[in-house]
Amino acid sequence: MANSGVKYNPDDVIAVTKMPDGKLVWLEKGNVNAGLEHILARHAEGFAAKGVNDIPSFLYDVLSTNPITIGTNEKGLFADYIFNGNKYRIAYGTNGYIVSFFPVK
Amino acid sequence: MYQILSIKNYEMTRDIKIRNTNSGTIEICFDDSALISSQCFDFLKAGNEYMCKIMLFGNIVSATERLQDKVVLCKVICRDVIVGRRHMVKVGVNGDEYYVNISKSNEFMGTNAFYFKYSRKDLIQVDDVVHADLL
Repeated sequence: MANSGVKYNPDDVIAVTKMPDGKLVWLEKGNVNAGLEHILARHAEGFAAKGVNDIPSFLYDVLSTNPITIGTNEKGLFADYIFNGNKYRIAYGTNGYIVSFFPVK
Repeated sequence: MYQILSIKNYEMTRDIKIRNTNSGTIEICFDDSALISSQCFDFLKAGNEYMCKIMLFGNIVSATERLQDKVVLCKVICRDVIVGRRHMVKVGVNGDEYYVNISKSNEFMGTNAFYFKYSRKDLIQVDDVVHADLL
């Protein structure tokens, strides 16, 4: 990450990985609006219902697979994955900062 | 009809607080529609009223779990209703209507009611606009 040129706070980084297309993405502790704190506050229950309690580790596992859909909109980028029969969505900025991660319908 | 009470914006998604104008039930619904499509619910304004469809996001559970938090008894109103292009089940819960996404192969299909544990309530349609996930 240090060589990538993106702005980040190393003390806040929880996880870093590359998507299959080579894009660097990372998860920070964040806050109520974005990052791990937001994911835990808003989506921990949804993950628990899927049997997922360690969200950062699970995120790593999901990101190691190929997304079924990648898209971009005014809000940012998203990638959808099917993992263990369930669908998950990752929302991230153009710089690779993971904003949110949640199971979807 | 539902009245929009407030909209809480996160970085890329939001929670919409709405009130059923018939029953008075207040819901907090998750909205990620703007993340995946320009055809989304960004037209919602606090104070205005709209026709809304809400999906319970979760799983069917056994009656032994009925006392757990967020477990509701869903009474089947319509076993197969199409929202967008998705086949869903329309259910009644304490006088309010919701939609659930259940495979037709599920064992519930022979029953008139089932217990459902939801972790989230998703806004899936507002007036004529359907969430892109269902298209």
